Amino acid sequence: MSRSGGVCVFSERRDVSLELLTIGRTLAGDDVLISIAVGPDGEATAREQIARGASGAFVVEPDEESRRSEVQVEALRQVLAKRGPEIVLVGATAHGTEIASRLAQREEVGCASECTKLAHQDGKLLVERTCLGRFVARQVIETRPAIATVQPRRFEPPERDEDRSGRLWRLNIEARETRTQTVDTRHREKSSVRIDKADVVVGIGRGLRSKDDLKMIEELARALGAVVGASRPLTDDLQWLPPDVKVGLSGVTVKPKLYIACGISGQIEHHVGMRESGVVIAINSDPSAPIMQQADYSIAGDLHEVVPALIRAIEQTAAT
Amino acid sequence: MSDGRPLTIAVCIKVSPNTAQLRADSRTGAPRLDDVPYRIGTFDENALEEATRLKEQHGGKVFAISLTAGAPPQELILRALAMGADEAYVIEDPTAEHADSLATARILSAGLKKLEGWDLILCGEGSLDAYNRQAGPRLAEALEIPVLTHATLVEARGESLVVHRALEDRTVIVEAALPLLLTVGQEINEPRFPTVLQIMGASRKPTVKWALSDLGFREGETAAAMSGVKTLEVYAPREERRRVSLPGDSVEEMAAELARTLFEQGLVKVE
Ligand SMILES: Cc1cc2nc3c(=O)[nH]c(=O)nc-3n(C[C@H](O)[C@H](O)[C@H](O)COP(=O)(O)OP(=O)(O)OC[C@H]3O[C@@H](n4cnc5c(N)ncnc54)[C@H](O)[C@@H]3O)c2cc1C
Ligand SMILES: Nc1ncnc2c1ncn2[C@@H]1O[C@H](COP(=O)(O)O)[C@@H](O)[C@H]1O
Repeated sequence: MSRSGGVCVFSERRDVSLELLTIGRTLAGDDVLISIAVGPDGEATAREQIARGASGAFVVEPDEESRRSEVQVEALRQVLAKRGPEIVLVGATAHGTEIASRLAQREEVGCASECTKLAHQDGKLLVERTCLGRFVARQVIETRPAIATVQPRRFEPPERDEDRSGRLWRLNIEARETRTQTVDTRHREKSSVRIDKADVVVGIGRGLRSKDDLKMIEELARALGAVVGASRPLTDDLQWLPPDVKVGLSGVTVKPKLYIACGISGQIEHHVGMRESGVVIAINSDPSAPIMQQADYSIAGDLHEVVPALIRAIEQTAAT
Repeated sequence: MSDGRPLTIAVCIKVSPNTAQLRADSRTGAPRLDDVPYRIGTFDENALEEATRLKEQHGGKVFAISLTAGAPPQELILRALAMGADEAYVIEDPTAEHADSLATARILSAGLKKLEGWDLILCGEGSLDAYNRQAGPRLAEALEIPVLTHATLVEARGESLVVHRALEDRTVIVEAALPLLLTVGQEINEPRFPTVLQIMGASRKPTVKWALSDLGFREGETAAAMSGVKTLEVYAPREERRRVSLPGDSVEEMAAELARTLFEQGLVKVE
């Protein structure tokens, strides 16, 4: 285990760790691609990672401890010391971003956050990411290792192949005591659908008067075969919808054929999450809301009137 | 009633271009940074507000600390002081615009070590312009203190804090000993608008300026030189929209027009 080079991937979420293997393999080429597995089924996760193309996987033990941030940062440090990868990719969840940042500071190296594109250039890692609102930055990471966090859902996981084999290592971590103690955990509801894969998304924002109005929105979504997405105030503040349907800079990027924004103002942080959509429709009572400039077609009006009228119009047009 | 003791809180504020008003150069697509107002980051204002709220509840002191590329608009520092900070510490480095998170955390941690005496550090979840979401956890690592990101509610209890955090899949309540670093977003509070009186009072509060050499950095150790991530190019992706406001004298007519458009373009299919 002394050869250095290659790529190392980590996410506390199994699905995201598999996505990282796709871009990880592209960047590693014929070189090694190492993954790190944590969580209650660490070993099963590691085997899955190998079946999806990892050359080898580290299982962090003991299982129960492997969810802690301190343990994960320490595990990554040990893997870096053992394997000396050129590139470390981490899933850009809130948790993953914290892990990557702490690791990068301990190692005193650069880390580019939430990359959407990654490639080699002159032996260095070249990335693209959103910055300054609606702009995109091309950046190069000059340190070794180069650490980058990768936007979840940017890449599809590689095909599974049972015949692939790879080494499996165990990593027993004894991390420092923490001075923080979790006293309560409440799991939040998850969306039953992948909003980033939907062909039609109905996005809703603070223009919605009450949680009851969700019924009307769901009816519109049914008529259109759409999935419902939302702005940050609805997912994080009011918590009317699960956080995984948040569209925007701190949420998901959607690229449906059709995006219908209802009662969303179109602040830049929301806009960057939906600008890759095919056709954009805006329904907003304020004709000067920024969303009107981001739309192909807009209706200036109260969504509580427009949405029911639209549902009726769709049913009528479908019938003729 | 909570039983918190007076806290000394340092708030990291980044002065950044107001991204909502930042335009692209019509020829090159590059951001027109010469022609944009600056502001304190949205979430950094939430951090300031939370620090001020804790001070009002339990007593204590609030420091604002910022790394900027020299001559930050003085009114923004005054704004931080008017919003509740008691003292401002401005670290000036002409290359600060090129600072990545590694350099930012190194420099801010040097400043915070010099400052001493804080119990709590508050950062934004992410900065308005870069949104790296790195500086908070990196700073905690550099200062060897625990970090809790995405705090949505904070309560002081003696030597510890009770913190509610919102993560993608769960909300957790954590009890944490001080010193501690927290990152916050827009959910935690509604930042106040300072009154004219508070703004006038702010100019009497002390602002301390530091150069990197005051923090023990050697010549050549600039923010840009210490950065591991270099920006090669910044551009605005092309986006063209038709921007048609649908005609109609009533909601019914406009909705019918929209339905027609959707069917015509094959965006809605008849089952
Ligand atoms: C670093 C950072 C990251 C962020 N990340 C995200 C993100 O990922 N996603 C996100 O969404 N936001 C994000 N935000 C927040 C963002 O800046 C905005 O605050 C948010 O998008 C606003 O949500 P909204 O449009 O629902 O609410 P508002 O801005 O309050 O807009 C509500 C709109 O509804 C309209 N309206 C009101 N009543 C009606 C009615 N009856 N009928 C029709 N229209 C009506 C109003 O005219 C208004 O335009 C982020 C902010 C920062 C600083
Ligand atoms: N130059 C800076 N000066 C002071 N605080 C900063 C600076 N850069 C980042 N921060 C703090 O770190 C947070 C996260 O920044 P970032 O990692 O760039 O997203 C910001 O919200 C600020 O609280």
